[in-house]
Amino acid sequence: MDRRSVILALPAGLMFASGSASATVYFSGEAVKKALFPNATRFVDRSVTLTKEQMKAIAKAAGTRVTAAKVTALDAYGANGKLGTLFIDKVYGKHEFITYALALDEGGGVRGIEVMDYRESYGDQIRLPKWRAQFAGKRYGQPLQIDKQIKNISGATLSCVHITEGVRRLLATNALALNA
Amino acid sequence: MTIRKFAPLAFLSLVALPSVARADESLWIYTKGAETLPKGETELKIATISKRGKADSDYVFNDIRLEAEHGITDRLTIYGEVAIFNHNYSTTNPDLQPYFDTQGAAGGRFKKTQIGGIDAGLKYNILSPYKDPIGLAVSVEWDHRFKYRLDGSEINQDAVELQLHFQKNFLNNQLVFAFSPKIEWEDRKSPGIIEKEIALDISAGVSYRVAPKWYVGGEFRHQSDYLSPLDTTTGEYDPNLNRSKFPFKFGSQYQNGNYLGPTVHYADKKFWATAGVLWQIAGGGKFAFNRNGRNVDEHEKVHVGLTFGLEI
Repeated sequence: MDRRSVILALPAGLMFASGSASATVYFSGEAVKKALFPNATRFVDRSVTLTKEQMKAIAKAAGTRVTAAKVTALDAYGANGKLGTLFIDKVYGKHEFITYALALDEGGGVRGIEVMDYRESYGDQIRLPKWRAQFAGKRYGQPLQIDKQIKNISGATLSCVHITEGVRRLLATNALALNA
Repeated sequence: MTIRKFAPLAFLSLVALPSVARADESLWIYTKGAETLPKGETELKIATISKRGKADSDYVFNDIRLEAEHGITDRLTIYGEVAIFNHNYSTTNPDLQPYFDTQGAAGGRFKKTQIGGIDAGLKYNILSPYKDPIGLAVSVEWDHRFKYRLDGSEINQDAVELQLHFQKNFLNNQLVFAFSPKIEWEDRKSPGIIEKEIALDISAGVSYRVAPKWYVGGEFRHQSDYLSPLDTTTGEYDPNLNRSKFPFKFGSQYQNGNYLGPTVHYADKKFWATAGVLWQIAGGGKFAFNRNGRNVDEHEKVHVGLTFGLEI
């Protein structure tokens, strides 16, 4: 092998060494329903397609962009009636989307969050229960900002910021589009 | 030290790596953003810039860097790299120096792969591009060179670099702007000459995430030198040049080159890659070899860059 061949082989070796990537999936749709609403006996689809006016209003209320009109939502019911609403949503990771589920109680407060899949190489500390617990009880209209109400995780800043923005957006969506 | 001993070891060490993940990464060839590696993360990089085309020659210089970075804290990254120079050129013009002399005069050719030098540096993130109004980092680097990057001849050069890294993101961080001005203080000794040089290397890039994993953008780079060559045989400085004095007294600008071109970046969970082609759009300098508004001795007609990154 001459020198030039060795040099050209180095990047190729890197590609080979890297192998192929696979996403880390933590929850399926069914699993996240059980995790966030363990007492639910049935779910009713409440998915909506936002109008342009609704998207604008939600963006203004949440202080973040609304890029997808389709909202995936399910109302959860237990033996004694409605328990709350489950949203399945995506936010931008550094290179791919982060899929997460947000559960709201019947009064519109945050009941829980689960990260369903995370495909970035680092920043998955957002899955830590302690970090996610900061959102508990937050409602539409309350301030919800990184470094203020929500502590940032150094080294996972992009994910922290985007999940926080996503929760703000879904709280506004719940108030302005699903329960207007 | 030659590539013959070094390259197989480097290659084997890389292919022997287990599956690993990507970390802090470059969206461009020269421009560096404000991010640092998270604490405890280690990244390996291979960066190659193929610099091609000078006046009256078939000049090719592959500037290859093997780099390792490590996050000491979430804000402070330490890094070191080995520079490998791969030269292959021949010029017919005796005025194109130092190439003509190094190749062995008319009809000669310089074709060699060599360890060019070593670098080490620190990068500190001050403001986050994700939650502060603008991202900002500062880096300090020390370089030592055994070989002259332009022609591959023997030198003894030490340099200190100070660089700022500004980064501003828009559209949910899908659109990224970065601006990285760098100043270098170089102390270069070659046979018969000592040079005290201040160099500016200013780059800027923009890149947009066009699809998951893919960024497409463009980059601009300016490089210029302000130097004072001392002829050690006569003990005199070049009377045509105003001398540079460290740290901030800029002497005569010896040369400059300006480049512009597209870049593309791909990132998977386990590695990332960046490619770019930058053409010299303008260049010159009072004391440089210029042709058609471009510098064609210290600078090249085109730079083709390719970088791979892996995180352990």
